[in-house]
Amino acid sequence: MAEHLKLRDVSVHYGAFTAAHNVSLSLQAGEIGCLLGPSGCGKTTLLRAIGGFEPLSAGEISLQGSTISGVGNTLPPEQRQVGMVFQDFALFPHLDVGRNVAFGLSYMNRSQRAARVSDMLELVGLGQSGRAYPHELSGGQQQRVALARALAPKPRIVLLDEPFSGLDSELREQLAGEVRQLLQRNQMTALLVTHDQHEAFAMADQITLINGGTVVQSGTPDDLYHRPIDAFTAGFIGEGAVIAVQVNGDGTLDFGLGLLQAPVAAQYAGRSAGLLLRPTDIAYAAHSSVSLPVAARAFRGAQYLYQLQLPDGQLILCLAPVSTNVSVGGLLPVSCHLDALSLFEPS
Amino acid sequence: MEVEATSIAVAVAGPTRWQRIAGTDTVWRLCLLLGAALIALPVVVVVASLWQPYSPVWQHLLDTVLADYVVNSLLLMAGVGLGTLVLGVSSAWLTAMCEFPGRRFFTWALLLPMAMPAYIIAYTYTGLLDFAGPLQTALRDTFGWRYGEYWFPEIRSLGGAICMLSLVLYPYVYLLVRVAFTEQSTALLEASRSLGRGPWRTFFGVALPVARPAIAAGVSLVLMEALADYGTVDYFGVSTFTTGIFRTWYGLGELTTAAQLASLLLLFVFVLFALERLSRQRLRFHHGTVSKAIQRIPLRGWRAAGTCAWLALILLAAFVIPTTQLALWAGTHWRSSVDAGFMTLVSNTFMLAAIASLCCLAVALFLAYGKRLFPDWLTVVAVRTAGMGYAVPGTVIAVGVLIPFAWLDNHIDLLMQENFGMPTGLLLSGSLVALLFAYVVRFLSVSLQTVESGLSRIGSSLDESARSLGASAGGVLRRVHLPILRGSLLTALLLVFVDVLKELPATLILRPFNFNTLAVRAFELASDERLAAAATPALAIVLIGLLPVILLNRGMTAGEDGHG
Repeated sequence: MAEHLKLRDVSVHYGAFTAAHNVSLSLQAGEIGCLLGPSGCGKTTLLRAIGGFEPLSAGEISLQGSTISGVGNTLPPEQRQVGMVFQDFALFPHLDVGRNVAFGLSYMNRSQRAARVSDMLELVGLGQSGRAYPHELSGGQQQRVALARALAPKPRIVLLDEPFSGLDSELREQLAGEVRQLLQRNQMTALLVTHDQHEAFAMADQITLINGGTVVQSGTPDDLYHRPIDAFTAGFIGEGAVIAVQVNGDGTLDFGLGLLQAPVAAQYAGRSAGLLLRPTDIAYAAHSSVSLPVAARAFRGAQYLYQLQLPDGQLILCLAPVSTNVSVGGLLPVSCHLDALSLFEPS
Repeated sequence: MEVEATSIAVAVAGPTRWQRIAGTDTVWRLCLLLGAALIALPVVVVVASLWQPYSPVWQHLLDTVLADYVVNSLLLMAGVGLGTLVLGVSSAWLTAMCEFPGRRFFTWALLLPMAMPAYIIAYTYTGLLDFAGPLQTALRDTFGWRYGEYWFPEIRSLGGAICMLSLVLYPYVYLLVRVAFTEQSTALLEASRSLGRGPWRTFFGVALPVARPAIAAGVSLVLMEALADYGTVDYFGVSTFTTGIFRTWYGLGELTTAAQLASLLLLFVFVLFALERLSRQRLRFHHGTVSKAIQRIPLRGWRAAGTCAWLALILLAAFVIPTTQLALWAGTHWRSSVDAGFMTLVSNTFMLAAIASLCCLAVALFLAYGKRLFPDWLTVVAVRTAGMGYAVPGTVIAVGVLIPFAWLDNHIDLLMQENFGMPTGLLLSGSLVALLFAYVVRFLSVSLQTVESGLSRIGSSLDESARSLGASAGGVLRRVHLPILRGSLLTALLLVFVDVLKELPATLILRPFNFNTLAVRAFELASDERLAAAATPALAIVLIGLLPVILLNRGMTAGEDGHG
């Protein structure tokens, strides 16, 4: 199956500043992708380049097999059939909700347009609000109007720029799930930009992690969480600690919890490396011979998230039942359970 | 709400301190109502003239000139409104949203015509374009035409007045609309593009309607200026309401009839205001919370050249050509006009303008802030009324000031004579106090509008957090609003400064004996057809008027850099 959206070696410059460098990614039809990264990493620039608002300085963007952006060749935004949902929703304050949704439907006749608008408002659960003005709606409702407006002209792809960042955190996850279902029901291909990994996990099939304008890692949420390729990904996604370890020539690892027998990539043999330890990798074990001093702890309802100190002073995280109840300075008996080893070049 | 909050506070903090604050509120409120009433007084006096007996002159006016006044005033408004709309909105859009060579230059240069009073540009173009002027002379010499053998547009006409007023008044629209464009979320424009609308349809379908309040505010300012203009229409011999009022008063000596004519003019303005308010109903234009650097549309090739040519044309016609002509005239005449008396003229004018703009700002802040604190209908109506003076022609404000001041003078005189045997004569009505009061009445709405629009951008949560941190109402103003409002306050000061500098009719009537300003001097000389001699004071008005424009521009670009 051919790629629906394809970015090949895309670079975007603002004067001398490189906002995006050699970015490649692709999305299948009906897939929901996500550009994830810290703020200022260039992800919004990429989204705007796909929307046709930033010219490319290198590479190519194609949609359904035809090129929409190349160097010195940018198809105007209005000819792309790309729907956008903006961070501040960008609802037209001088038009009511119905006319906002109808804004992109000027190719239809009056009755078609009215039908489409009411369908779209029905779809997002705002069937009664067509005559209201944007400022009369709540944040969540405005967000849904923005989505309805973007979907109304049946775009080839929908781009969402931090679509939930203006909303309450409780509303955020609920809406993210709703939006995902809505997009999937309509077999929309979509690309989301966010700095919030939970949003990314809730929405996306494919996540592309961006840092400093380049792609760090692409994959499913599961890939990124369990098989991070470097310390940045490991640190950005999920909780955990990357500690410095010594890899012996025989493939054993030496760290504060003693020797660990595990298959290690040959490249690290006899060298030091960074090892990712998730809080779930370290488990409370009542009869363990190893006990570590608690440096800090945070209450998580059913569990405590402990920060433990290794004999060499490095800190690791451990998620243990709340019944353990060891206060700071006390000793917590633990054992280590590593399913897959995530080793990186030492930082 | 206010009462509730206070009573809770009393319960918490004990009576003394909170009662004192509640007392300050009452005083503030009372001062506000009194101040607004005082400022509305001249307008009230004028409106009250409608209930005065009507003199037989009315029948004469109805039979002869009244229809002319109405039609000409309407045509003037329509023409100037359209002219400033096209000039102001196009230049605002191009300099705010497009990138082309020379954009930075044009951004500030387009404000320059603000320094050019309409009557001065009118004299200058008359000198340039009339039969004996250099242009027609050159045409005759080149083509060998003689008098009556060719057609040339008559500058001294209604069309000429529309052109002159549009050229010098468009910066009001430019300034306000440009701010609106730069504050518009670029995401709005991008949303429109991504929904399939090209740049032109986006401009007319989104950018322009969203900027409508700013456009309406700018154009309504312009229309009020156009209605109030006396110098230009008088010089061009166009009969409008203002010249009619002047003529009725000076020519026929009918002060009451003049005031009655003026209240008819006020009716025009009220209709204008009502229409503008109505169109804004239900629309709330919130500014996006995300402030991004402006993404300007790059223009290249013929587009950039066309843009530059259009803006250069505006600038040439509205500023460069008239200023050059004035400078040429002044160059040949300055020796005879610049003397000690001239320096007194300059310092008088500057002092008057500075004091008047400070007074306006202080009163505007007081009123706007009072309205924010106590937004009940009485306060709102009071503040609105106080801001109406701008619509009233200077001549009429002068009458409205003169009548109560003369009444007061008479009573003081009587009182002093009876009690101390010491006549005081015209204590107030011939003094600078009367003139300054007239300026405040006339120009308050300029600073009031600027301050209010600045205040409306400050969310009420800021007030509330400052109050909850122990700041008093005055403290909130001083520590929170004033620093945030600095740009708006600067704008308010300078707009009034330039206006006072150019003000003609009220100054003519209310100035103390032997007290001249540059505007009055230029007007007297030009009316005597001594155009070249009028050039020196006229050029001085333009040059002094430039200083605030430069400052204004600095504030404007600094704000923009801060955003980027």
